[in-house]
Amino acid sequence: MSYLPLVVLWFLGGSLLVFIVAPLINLVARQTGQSLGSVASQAVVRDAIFLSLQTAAITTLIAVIFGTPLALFLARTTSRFKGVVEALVYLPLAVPHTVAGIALLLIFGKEGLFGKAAAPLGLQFYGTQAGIVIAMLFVSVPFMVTSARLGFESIDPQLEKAARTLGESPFGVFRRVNLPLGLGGILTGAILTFARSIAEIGAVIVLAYYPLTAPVEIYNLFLSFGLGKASAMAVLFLLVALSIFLVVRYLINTFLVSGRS
Amino acid sequence: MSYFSLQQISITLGHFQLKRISFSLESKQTLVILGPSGSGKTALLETIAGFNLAKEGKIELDGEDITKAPTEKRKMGYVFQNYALFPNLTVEQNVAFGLRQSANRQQRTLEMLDFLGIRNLAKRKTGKLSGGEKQRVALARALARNPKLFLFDEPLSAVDAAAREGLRDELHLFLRNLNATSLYVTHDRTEALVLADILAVIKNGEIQQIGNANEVFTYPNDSWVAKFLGMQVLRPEWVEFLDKGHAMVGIGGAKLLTQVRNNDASKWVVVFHPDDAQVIKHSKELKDGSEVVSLIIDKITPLGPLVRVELKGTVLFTSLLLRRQYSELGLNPGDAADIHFDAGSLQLVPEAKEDVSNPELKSSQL
Repeated sequence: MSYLPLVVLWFLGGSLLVFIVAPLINLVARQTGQSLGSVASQAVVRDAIFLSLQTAAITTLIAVIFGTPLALFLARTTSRFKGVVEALVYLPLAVPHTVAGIALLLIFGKEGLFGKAAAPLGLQFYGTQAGIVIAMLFVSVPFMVTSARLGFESIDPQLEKAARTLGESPFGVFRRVNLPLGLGGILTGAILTFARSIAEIGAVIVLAYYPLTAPVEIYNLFLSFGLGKASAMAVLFLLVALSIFLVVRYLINTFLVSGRS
Repeated sequence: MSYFSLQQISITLGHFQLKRISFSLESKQTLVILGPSGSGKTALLETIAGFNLAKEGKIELDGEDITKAPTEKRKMGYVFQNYALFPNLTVEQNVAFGLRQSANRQQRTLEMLDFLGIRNLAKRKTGKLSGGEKQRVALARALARNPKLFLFDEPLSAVDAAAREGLRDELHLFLRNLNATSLYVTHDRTEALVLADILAVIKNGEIQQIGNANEVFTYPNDSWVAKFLGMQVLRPEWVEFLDKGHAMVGIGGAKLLTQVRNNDASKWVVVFHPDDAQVIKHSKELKDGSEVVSLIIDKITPLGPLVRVELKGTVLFTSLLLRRQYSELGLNPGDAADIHFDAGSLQLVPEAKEDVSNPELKSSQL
């Protein structure tokens, strides 16, 4: 038996991995403790990183609350409108993020329909944290809905019926069957949403350039001071985000997902 | 008034329809709904459970109209195909699932675990339980809420053949000990006959026959029900009706007495259970009009302790013989053999619509 086809497949897959990892390793390898310390000592950098983490966390929370019911609907419905709803959920993936930002600005901006409606409640989106959250939510919500949906689809529908015969109302079934058994999908969706949100710049820069998130500040540093400072902050941001990502993933796998299977 | 009844229940599910289903069941009885895949067994059970709401008809349980009641209010215990145990919960948590609002939840759970003999499994997750253990957990979980009616949806269909018999007997014992009222759907006639007090045979969303299990098994309504119950079907060359309840038929030169329960048909077939017909050595002295059918052995297939003998001639006939019986007869392909039918074992029944061919009827007899 020839191993050549297998070697070719390994080579193709491996090449893609190198393509993903090499730029990031190279970026990190170029930094020194001094360069990282220098950018970390600047309040504007720390504030931007903190703001990115904070807004991404809020975005994730909103995505989980609103995306989970939609995911359950898509997993279980046999409605003829299912295809349309699916297409709408995936739409943000196909829209360039700057275009998404402009669309959001037109509706959430001061003169926009939602912007005007929210103004009396003291809620403004243009140039605010709320605007950053809206922009992040728009681009990341497909990840939340898709992952949660896959989680719900993996639940045997007979379990839901069993819960009904055991006295649970439809909401009781959601709470006691769908949520615990679909938790893996929901948490995966939450992690992907957080990761996608924290990295967003295109839509954010249009709707809420200020206050500065980390990607926007990195872009500013690149334009003002060149690659040196920008790459130092990029590495700092990458390390912080990656650490949080790994810790959260570890906690989820240890205490929630593997504990339930 | 019956303990449980369905009156003219009709429901459309996509392209499938349940058509005017009616039956009633007394307390402590087991009704088995027997039918092939796609006949509507599960749809019927799910309608009774309230997963599908019937638009026409009425369902009553213990004097209460539950036609429009949501599933959780129907007080039914449902045992699913594959048992539908919650994989994220332990055995104990599964059993306690439906007792959330019960004051003596812990005590009732332990009672159920003891009753089904699974207390030793209480802390185990359900994923690695054997088929028998899963069945006991599912029964304990359904029983814990003290349901008024048990619904069983082919619980043994996914179990391998070796374990099925034991599980079936255990289930039978459970229902008898508990004096439970239950509805059980299956496509397996052995399972049906072991468990049923009342047997209903369903096809294409319609009940074809319902009655005492032994009665349905012995006297099928038509050729389809007979074949589904494992009976053999022979087409007579002629039919001559005698007094009420009997007819003489001609098959392969033989003249055979049959019982007739339903005179309302134009096409007839003779049906019988295979064990009511014996293959015997051919006797050359037989003449036309004798009570045996003479055929030629076409094929012999050894099946372990049994031997399948296929015969052909004016009709086709298949018989299962014990190996010893087969050796004693000394049969070989190409030999002539006679079929002898036990007295009173032949039934003349209407031919179901999908069966073709029409026996030649003696014009004077109809």
